[in-house]
Amino acid sequence: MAKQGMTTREEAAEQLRLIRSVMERATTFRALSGETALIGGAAALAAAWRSEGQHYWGFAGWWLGGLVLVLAFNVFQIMRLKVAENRPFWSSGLRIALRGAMPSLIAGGFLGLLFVRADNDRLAACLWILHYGLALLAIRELTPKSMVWLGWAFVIFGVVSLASVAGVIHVPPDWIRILNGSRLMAVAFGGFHLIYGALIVTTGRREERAL
Amino acid sequence: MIDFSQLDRTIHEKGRLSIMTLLASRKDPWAFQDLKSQLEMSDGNLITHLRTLEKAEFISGEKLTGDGRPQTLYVLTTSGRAAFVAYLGILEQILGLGK
Repeated sequence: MAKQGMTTREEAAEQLRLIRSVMERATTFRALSGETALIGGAAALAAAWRSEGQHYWGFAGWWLGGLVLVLAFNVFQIMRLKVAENRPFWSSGLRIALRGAMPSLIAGGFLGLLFVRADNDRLAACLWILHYGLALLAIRELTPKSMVWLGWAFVIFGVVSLASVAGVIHVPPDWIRILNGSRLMAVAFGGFHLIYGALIVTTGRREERAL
Repeated sequence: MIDFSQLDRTIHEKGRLSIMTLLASRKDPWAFQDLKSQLEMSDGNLITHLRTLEKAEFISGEKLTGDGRPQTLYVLTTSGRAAFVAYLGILEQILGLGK
C-alpha cells in the first residue's frame, strides 16, 4: 500500500518504478556478458590455432578445454553481478534459461562428438555452431535483442556451413579445403563472439541485469 | 479530467501489481515456484494474492501433473491484460498532470 501522506502523483511514480524494476528483472537475462564474449572469442581463436591439423580427441580436447574455461569465467561473472545486486545465484531466470537452452546444447554436443569420433571435424563444427545458435534462440523470451541476433548469426552460419559440407549448396572446392572444423569454429565462436562482446562493452549496454 | 477512482484497487496493491507485471512480461506461463522466487514472497502471501487476482478474473491458473512434480502455471487473462494496460494508462495520465 502507498505510504500515508503521499500525493497521488508520487504514488503513481512509485508504482511505475515498481513495474519497471519487476519488468527489467523478469525480461532481461544476459546469459553472456560482453566481457565473457570477448574472453570466449579469444579462447576460441586460441583453440582454433591449437586444434588446427588435429584429429579425433586431439581436435575435440582443445575445444572442450576452451569451453570449460569460458563457462567458468561466465559463472564467475554472473556470481559477481548477483553479489553486487545482493541476489541469489540460483534464480528462477537462470533456471528457466538453462531449461530452455540445455536440450539444444546436449543434443548438439553429443552429435558433434559422434562426428569427432568418425574423424569428421567439419560436420562436428557445423553441428556445434548450429545447436549453440538454437540454444540462444530457445531463451529469446528472456534475453536482450543483441543475444537473439547472435543466436541467428550462429544458426544461419551453421545451416549454410552444413549445407556446403553436405554438398547441398555449391561452393568452390578450394573453400571446402580451406574451411576445416577449426576454421569454421574460429569464424563463429571466435569472430561472432568478439564482435558481440565489443559491441556490448563499447555501447555501454551492461546495465541490463543478469537474472 | 482524470477520474482517479478508475485506478483498479485490485491491481494497485504492490504484491499483486508485481504479479501482474511478471505475468505481462512474457507470453509463456509462470510457474508458482518461479513467481515465488522472483518476488521473494512467502507461499501464503503469494497464494492469497493469486486467489484475489483469480477471483477478479485477471489471471488463470492451470495445474499440471505431467513430467516431474505437479505445478501450477499462471497466465494473464484477456481481461487481466486489458486491466493492466488501463492501469498503466491512468498512472501515466496522473504523472502527465504534474508536468
